[in-house]
Amino acid sequence: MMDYQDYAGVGAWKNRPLAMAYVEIQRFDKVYDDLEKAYRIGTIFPDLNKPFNGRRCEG
Amino acid sequence: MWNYEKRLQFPVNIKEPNAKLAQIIISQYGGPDGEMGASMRYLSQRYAMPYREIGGLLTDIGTEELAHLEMVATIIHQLTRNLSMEEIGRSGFDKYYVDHTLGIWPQAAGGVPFNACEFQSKGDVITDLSEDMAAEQKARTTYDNILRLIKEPDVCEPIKFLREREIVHYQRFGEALRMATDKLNEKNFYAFNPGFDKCENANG
Amino acid sequence: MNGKEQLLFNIGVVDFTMVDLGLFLDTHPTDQKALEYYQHYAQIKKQLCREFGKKYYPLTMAEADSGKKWSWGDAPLPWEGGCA
Repeated sequence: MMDYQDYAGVGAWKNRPLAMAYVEIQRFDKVYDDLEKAYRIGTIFPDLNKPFNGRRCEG
Repeated sequence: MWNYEKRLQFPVNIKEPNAKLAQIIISQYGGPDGEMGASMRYLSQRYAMPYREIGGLLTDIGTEELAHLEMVATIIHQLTRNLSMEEIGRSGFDKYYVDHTLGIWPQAAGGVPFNACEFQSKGDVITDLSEDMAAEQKARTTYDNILRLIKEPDVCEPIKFLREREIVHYQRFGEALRMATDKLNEKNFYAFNPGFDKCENANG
Repeated sequence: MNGKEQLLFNIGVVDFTMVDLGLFLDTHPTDQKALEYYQHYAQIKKQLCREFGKKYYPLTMAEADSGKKWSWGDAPLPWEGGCA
């Protein structure tokens, strides 16, 4: 696992000013072919599909 | 201004009443991180936005949240409309019923009524967008918590849809924040409030 | 689903596609691919809504004045669900 020292100031992060939050900008890449499937998921973009699978688990 | 289409953004068809679920899900109607707060937040913040594209985004997401508010109310309505007096008494729903019968009233699951303290409209683009990103995460976590409690597919389907929309909105607000910072001086994003200060102090 | 429910569902699918594309366009206003997709689905939605309004009931108040009576109240309210 990278130490944060390894990637601060590297690549895309090289010139980003401090004290600000940065969300990666989405590129218009893939869209679901099956729009009904996309509707049930809640987005037409597979890259934004982040389902919830958490369970407390007994014992 | 607003127009209305007489349909839900995503279908809700719940066959079995469930007062316990209704009491939980009501938090997404009038609770601190619910859809009423979301829509009022974005629709209130948009007026002070210095950048037209961001005011536009807030209007569009705020409008979508009103459609979500309608879905959440529909879920609660369908979970409660056929309850027997026995079920009302047994489930603890009687505390809500005595004041509202089966009317939908904006409150959190714990009973706190919806109020403007649930959101802020600070009049600063970076601050407001940061608030909005946090709001979408809070809403997503609330939906995560609800999903742990439900097994009924009729209820899961619209809840999963609503949850995914929060993630998409987070992405859009994040992109809006990038748009805003792109218009500001990267040496100091906080030198002035672009929505308020007409000029910068040259000696600052 | 019967014919009416299926058509209403299809309108939902197409309109939702436009909403998701619309938000993308709000933060990517010059993306040509997204714009083309949006315009494509906007056309389909128009056709579907016209068909629905002719066969069943008006989905917007603007469509409610065709014929001899005010048909806005004919529509089931969206929260009634398919199994009221």
